[in-house]
Amino acid sequence: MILEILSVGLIISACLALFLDEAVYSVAALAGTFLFTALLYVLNGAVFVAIFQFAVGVGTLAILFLSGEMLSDKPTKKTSLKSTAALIGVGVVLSLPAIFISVSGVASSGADVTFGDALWNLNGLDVVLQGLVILMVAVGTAIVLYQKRSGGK
Amino acid sequence: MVSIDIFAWLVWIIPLVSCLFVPLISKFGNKARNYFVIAISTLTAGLALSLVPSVFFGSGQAEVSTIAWIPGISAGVFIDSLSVLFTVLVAFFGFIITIYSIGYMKGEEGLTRYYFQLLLFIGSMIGLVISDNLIQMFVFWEMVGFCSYSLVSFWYKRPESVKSGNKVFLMTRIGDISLLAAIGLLFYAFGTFSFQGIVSGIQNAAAAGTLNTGLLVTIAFLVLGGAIAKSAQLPLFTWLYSAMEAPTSISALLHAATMVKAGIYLLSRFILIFAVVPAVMVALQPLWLPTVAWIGVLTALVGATLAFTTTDIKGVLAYSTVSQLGFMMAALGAALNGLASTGWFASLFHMMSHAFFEGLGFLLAGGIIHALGTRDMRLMGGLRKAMPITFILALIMVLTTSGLPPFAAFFSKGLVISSVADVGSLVQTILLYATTMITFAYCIRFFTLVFMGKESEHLVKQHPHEAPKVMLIPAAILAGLCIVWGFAEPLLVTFMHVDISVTLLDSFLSLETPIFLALLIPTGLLVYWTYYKNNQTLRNLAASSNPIRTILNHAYFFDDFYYFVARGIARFSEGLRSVENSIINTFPQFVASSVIRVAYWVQKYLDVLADQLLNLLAIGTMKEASKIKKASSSSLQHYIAAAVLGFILIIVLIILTVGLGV
Amino acid sequence: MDFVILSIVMLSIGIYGLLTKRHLLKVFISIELIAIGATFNFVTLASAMGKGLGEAFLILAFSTDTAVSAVILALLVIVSKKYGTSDVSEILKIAEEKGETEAEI
Repeated sequence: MILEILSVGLIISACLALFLDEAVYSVAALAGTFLFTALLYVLNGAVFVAIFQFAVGVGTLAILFLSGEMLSDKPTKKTSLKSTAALIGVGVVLSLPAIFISVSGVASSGADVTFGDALWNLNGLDVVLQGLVILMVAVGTAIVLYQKRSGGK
Repeated sequence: MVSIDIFAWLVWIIPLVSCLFVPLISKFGNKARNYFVIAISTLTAGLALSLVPSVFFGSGQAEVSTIAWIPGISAGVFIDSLSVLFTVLVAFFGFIITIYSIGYMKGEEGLTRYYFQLLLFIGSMIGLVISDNLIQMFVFWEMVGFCSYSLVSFWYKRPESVKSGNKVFLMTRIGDISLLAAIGLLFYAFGTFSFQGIVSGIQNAAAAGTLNTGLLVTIAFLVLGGAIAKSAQLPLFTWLYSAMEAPTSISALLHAATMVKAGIYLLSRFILIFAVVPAVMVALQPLWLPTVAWIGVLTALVGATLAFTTTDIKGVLAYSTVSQLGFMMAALGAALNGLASTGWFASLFHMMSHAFFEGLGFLLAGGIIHALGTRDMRLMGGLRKAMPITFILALIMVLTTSGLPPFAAFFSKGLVISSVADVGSLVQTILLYATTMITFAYCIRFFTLVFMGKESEHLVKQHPHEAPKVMLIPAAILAGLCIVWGFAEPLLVTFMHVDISVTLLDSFLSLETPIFLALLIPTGLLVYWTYYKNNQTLRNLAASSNPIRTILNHAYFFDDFYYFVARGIARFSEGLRSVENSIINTFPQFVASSVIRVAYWVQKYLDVLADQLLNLLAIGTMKEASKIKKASSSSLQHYIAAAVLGFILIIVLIILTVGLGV
Repeated sequence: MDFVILSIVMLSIGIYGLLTKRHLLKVFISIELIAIGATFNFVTLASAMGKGLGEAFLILAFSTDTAVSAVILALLVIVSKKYGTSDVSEILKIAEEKGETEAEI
């Protein structure tokens, strides 16, 4: 059950990442995409990769936030709520094949390493915390830049 | 004997690594960089030549040296006669072109980038032919394609160069997809990427009786797809003409001598692999080999006819390359017994001689373009007085290309045609003969237009001088090779360890030679009258706009078809975009705005209605009240009736207002 | 394995974005989505088959991807600052008016 929810969330955030008009919003949606793929990796038993994706994704998103700020100089038209709702609907429709179609293949084996183990013994926790710190810094810088641009100097 | 393993590794690692040093060394000045590049290419050529003796005196078995990387994929070199042949070709040509570039590219800007990419190309091309597994070969295949793209658009300030680079890259990329599919299928079938692993896999499967020949035929076709794109066969040959936007030294290296031969290498290697078990070749025979042969023959014909009508000096050479590659492909299609058939050897022999004469042609064309500043042959004429050495070398090139004895291509082309005649159909042989006639025709046309006759006005304006020595010496080396290479045929037979018995006299004595020479004479006379003697009627006939002319001018409409497809994709994207816009943006907005409009309308009209009703009721009540006042009969029933009526009216009013207000 | 379908859907969303989007950042995000789709495919298949080696290599692929993304973003910012707009067709139009080729952009 949780697999389906995560898949739907993944595809919805991917659709939103592309179709939202404001650059910063689409970067936020891309962050959601990274988050959902990391969670899906964990559920598939690839815990290492999930932590790595999280860390690397945070780095990418930091740069993306900053450059999203710098790339959108002209005021763009805001996406209305209704079109966002339509987008979410499109995302749900697109994710239906992923849930209902199943390709017969190799049976899955369990995870080699448990989640808690990965967090503590394999220093996953450190990576995640560092990632959060970097993310905070990036968001803060973006806010500062935004205020500098729109407010007074 | 010194272990050749180290040399085999170094021969491709050294150019690849030293290309990274070029930007560093160019900080010390242009001369230092030039010397560095020449030193590296000489070193590579020396290393390549050092591989020759052990293969020549060896037994014909391959030597493989690998370095295990991850389980399942290892990096390795595969040293057998085929790889060493190609390695020597690439390294030698790299050396020649490097020396030529010193003179040709003198004074251009961005030379550091040029030499960096040149060394990168030499390293990756050698890596391609000497790698022992498919993954490594595919990586180098892609790198060679990338080098081709970046070198074709070297002069990036010209928009045509950039567009041509894109076109070259995209068209060869299509072949890469089918090659990747073939590699995937091979891994699925045999579980390994290395050539030796695949060979033993085929042998084991054949011994166990589980050989899936259908799968192997599919793999063969996919591999053919990759070779078609990379070696400019029909229908993916138009990129070779666009690649002439590159500097001429690059055209000589990439598109005459080495990169386009990668497809030939791929097919030769795969025929070697398939020929290990005869059952495989039998399975391939009905469908795949004839396809290869037919594609080769048709490409040869198309290339030759296009070379005959183009006015671009590099275009003649480009289409000539397409045509000769068709010859090689046709010979490969006649390789029914793999190593033991003449076709395989003939295609490789012709490949070497083609490299020499086409490379020579490009080097001379570079000198001519340098001196005259134009690529249009109609502006040239009578060049033989101004550039005598170029004239002599071009004469050698023209004689070789037409396949006249005793130059190299006579032997190689004769061998190709005889191998096709042995196993192919009569139609193919006739078409190949026709192509040789047209080859002779376009060679004479090229030679006459550029060198013979009196000097054109453009020439007189430009005052051309002979090309500098540093450009002539490589050309002279190639011309010398053109002359002697044909006689090296027995040496090559021993080198390649093929089981065919071919002697030099065979070429002279076989049936092909008199037919060939007999066909050349009327063609030669016809072209001679048209161009040299400037016979007006024939020239008018050639220049008139009949349907054949139109087809040839548009390169058989292949290019137009590809541009049509590309524009269709662009328009499809635009269409998708507007569909998406309408769904995501305008449709919800439409729904929302219509809802709002309905609400507004409801508000406007029903509200007003309620207002008026209210008004009406109020006035009515007042009137009633005044009437009741006027009545003033002191009758209690009247008062009670009036009160009840008023009460009912108030109730109704309350109900109405409360109901509407909700 | 419905995850194969999932990665195909992600891939097609990314390709759709590449085909239709004009904003520079959106184009880059589409490329990222394609990369996510591809690596997702490989990682889930590798972990399903129990081969840890695939996951190790995908970590390598991730980091290479990120480094490339950083460089691409820097280039995108430079381009948008030079032309003052983030719309690909506008950039091409301005470049044509000024007579520069694509490689000079």
